[in-house]
Amino acid sequence: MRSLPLFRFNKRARSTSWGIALCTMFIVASFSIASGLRSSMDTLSDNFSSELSLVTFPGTSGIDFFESSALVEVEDRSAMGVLAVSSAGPDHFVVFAVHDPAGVLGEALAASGHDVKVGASVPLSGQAVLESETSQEVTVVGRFSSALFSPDWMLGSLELLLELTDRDDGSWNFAVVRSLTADERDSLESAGFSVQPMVSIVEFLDSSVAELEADAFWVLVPSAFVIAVLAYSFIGAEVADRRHDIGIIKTIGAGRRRVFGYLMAESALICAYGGALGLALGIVMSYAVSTVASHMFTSVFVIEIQETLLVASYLVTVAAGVAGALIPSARMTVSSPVSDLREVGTY
Amino acid sequence: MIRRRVIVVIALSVMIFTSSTSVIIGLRDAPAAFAAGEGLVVTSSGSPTIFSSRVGMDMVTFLEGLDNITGVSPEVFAFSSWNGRSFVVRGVDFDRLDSVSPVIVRDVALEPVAGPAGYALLGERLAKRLALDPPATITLAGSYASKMELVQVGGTFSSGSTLDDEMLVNLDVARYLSGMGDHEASIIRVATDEPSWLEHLLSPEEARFSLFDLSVSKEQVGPGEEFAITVKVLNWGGTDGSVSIAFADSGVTFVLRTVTLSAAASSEVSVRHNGTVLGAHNISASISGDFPVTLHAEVEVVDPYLVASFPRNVMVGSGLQVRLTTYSGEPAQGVSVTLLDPTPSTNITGSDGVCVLPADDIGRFQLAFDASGTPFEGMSIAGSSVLVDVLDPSEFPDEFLPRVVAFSLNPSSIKEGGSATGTVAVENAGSVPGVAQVPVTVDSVLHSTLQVALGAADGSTVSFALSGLSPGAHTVQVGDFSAVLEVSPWYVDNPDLVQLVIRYGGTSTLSSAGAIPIYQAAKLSEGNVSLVLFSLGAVSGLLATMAIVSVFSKEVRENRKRLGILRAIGASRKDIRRLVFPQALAASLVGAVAGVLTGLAVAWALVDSGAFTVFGHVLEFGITLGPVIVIAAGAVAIGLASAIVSAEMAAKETAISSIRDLPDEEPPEKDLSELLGDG
Repeated sequence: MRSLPLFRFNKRARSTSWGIALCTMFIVASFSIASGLRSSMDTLSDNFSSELSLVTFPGTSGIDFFESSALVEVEDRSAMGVLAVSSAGPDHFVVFAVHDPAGVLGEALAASGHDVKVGASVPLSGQAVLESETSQEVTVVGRFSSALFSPDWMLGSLELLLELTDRDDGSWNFAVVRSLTADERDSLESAGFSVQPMVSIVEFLDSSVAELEADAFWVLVPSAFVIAVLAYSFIGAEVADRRHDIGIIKTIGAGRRRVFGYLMAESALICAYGGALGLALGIVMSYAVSTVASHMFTSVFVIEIQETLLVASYLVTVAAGVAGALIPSARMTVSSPVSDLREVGTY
Repeated sequence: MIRRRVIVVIALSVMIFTSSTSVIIGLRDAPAAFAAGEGLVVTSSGSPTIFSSRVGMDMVTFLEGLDNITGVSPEVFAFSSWNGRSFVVRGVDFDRLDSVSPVIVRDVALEPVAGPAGYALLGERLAKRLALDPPATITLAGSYASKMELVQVGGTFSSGSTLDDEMLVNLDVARYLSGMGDHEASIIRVATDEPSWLEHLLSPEEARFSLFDLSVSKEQVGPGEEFAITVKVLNWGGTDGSVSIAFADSGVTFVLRTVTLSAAASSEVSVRHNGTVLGAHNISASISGDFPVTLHAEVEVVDPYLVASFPRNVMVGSGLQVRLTTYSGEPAQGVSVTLLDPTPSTNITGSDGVCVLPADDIGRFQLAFDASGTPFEGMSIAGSSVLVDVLDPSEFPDEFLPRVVAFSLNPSSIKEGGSATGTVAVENAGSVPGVAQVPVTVDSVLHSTLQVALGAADGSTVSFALSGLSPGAHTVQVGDFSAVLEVSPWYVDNPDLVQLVIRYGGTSTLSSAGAIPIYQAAKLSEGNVSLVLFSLGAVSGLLATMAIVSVFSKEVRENRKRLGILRAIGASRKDIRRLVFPQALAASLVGAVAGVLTGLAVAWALVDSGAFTVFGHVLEFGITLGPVIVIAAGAVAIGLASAIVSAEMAAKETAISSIRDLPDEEPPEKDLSELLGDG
């Protein structure tokens, strides 16, 4: 390059660099906004937390039964249970039983035999016949109180639930697990289980922000396109201006690959310069917008800048610029030196 | 001169800008998803987010009673997840849901069952995401606290709206998951066949006033005695304004007060009044205008009197406690009280209006009062007999004989949600002490049972509260006594009534579905979000402009030689413009139209694929005809301007330099490599 100073950092190069810088700034600002949203949502999520996760096994008709051996890795932190929808006369109720030797639930929930306890909202008393897979006669012996289970439910014994659902001992259709790690959750989900944090808002916010972050990546499309058009226009105009010079270089022995390399390198340099400028502008703009906004508006939203996203923005800028320069560079490379030399432009 | 590649670049630029704009508009409108995109929505305006909005279910009843309202749907928001996917759970009253838009088309495999077991319908898009094929039974977790619920998913539905991304459950299930009270909802969706009526009510510009909380300092006054009348006034309009409040006594206005309030401000207005005519006086406070409000209160002007309170029976040898109060309940101090038995005894009431007299003789005796020299001079004694029976305990039956001897209800009319106090006097006609069980019935249904401990031949007074009664007249029965309690609807003089039809500044907000601000959904400031969305749109437009300008500039530059030749053979600048303009116009038009069409197609495809999701809802296709026309016209204008300016600049060059295709006539410039420190 040093020996063949074909291109100059002229007005066109400067304006193209600024254009590319604006595009990069746009990318950086978009990523910063997405990061800020993540931060804001994390702040909200901090207000809610639960150590408990609800584990079920989705089948074709919703929750299905599973063996206790499937949860052996988290058995010491699990309360296992059985749920069933049963009818008592015209009304339908949810009947449940839990086995909680580790005290995961922190609640004393027990019934024996065919005695059941009802939640505060269940109007049953005395004798009743519950029908599910089988019919079982039960006696309402009192009420249960729980923060975890609905007051519309009925608490029965494991024996009763297994009879109602016509299942063998050791079958469960839900478990509440304490302090489930991310790896354990992944392991359970890969085994086909559904894991629901027992406070859903955290996961809802997480998934919403993940969606927004994914949406932010779409900003790359228009920005990269414009960078490519700018690089295309820049190299195309430069080539139009310097075609005679390039013809001379070809005539004195420069190979096509070398000419192509010159043009691509010029595009990469312009994009690298514009990209660096854009990163700086993006960072400054993001902080400026964040600061101004926090003064002007009541806000929980603070823009954040992540280094990895800066690197990604920069790489996208350079790659788009190089891609945009491909067509004019290739066209110039394949043109014949004679036709190039017919163009009489010179310094 | 202008080649097809220009059209391609313009089309691509416009396409990208059009699709970006569609997404940005969709993002701006995303919170409307919680309102199902149509109709009007009542929320509580004080809530930081739409999820924390709380609206009383009373409003549902009220709204359903309005002629112009055709549909009302109370709804509760909760969140849950299933099989690793989070979604919005919307509690609805399935019977009322169909009264509001959009139309729900159900595909039900399992009908709702009776009883408290939860029932759910899945939006068709959510059903696909969850890969659930109803009927199915699934568990749901609590939204904000550790809870567990089970629902039977009975089927799917489609509405062509954002509801299709949600799960519909019974109101009670959603309330349980979100921890909401039984008498509340997150929002109420409202449908009306009189949109102009609502438009008028929703006008944000003018000042509008409401009166509420009218009260009088005394319910009974003497002739000429002053009492205070207090009423609160609220400006629920969007601008400052003044209102005249007319205070009237039995329809005759006695004072007008003008109040000036800024938007959303409230104030208390108090005036003093007196009445000379004996009897009930209807005191009212009213404002006129498009939204007239008149509130009423009752004040009775009475001849001043004293009330003596004492047990009708007292055992011989004990003390008789006598309490004297004025008609307005103030203690009457300094009044001389005499028990006219064979050995009359006299005492003076103290500052609490009480004095004690010895009951030395058996028999029925009169109490005499002398208020000479006190402010109560000349007042009669009312409210109770002034005869006292001094009894011999040995003459009473040897048993416990309780009986209700008096019952009163105060006040006799309340608003829904308010309470009244019942006062019951119970006596024991026997000589054996005990605890009396006094049943209180309301409309012949047992309301409560009072327990009154009574000594031998003793009497006692107990009170109880009546609340939670529905609007209407209720008969309260205690022993042989009964009283009627009038319960008027909560909205009788409640600003919520007006605020319902109502916007800024009150306890509730009625707004169009699309007007729910994004910050209510995202808990972000409105300013930030507007700034961010505007910036995204502006920068996106700038980038498209840059691409168009850049490519036109390049095209004209590459044709400088031809322009130079034209200039050399005598073409004027005007001729150059005439040459360039039609080509640029054609390229811009074709590029813009192609770009807009493909951009809309791309945006629609992206939206349809569910690529953009915000807060559990797939982004809707947001762009309308207006922005589309603006984008196309803008692209054409930018293209034309770029081409003309570039051609003008080229035409300025000398014909020779153009023909020779010389570069810009600039001073020698630095080598780029040199500039970057490479040499």
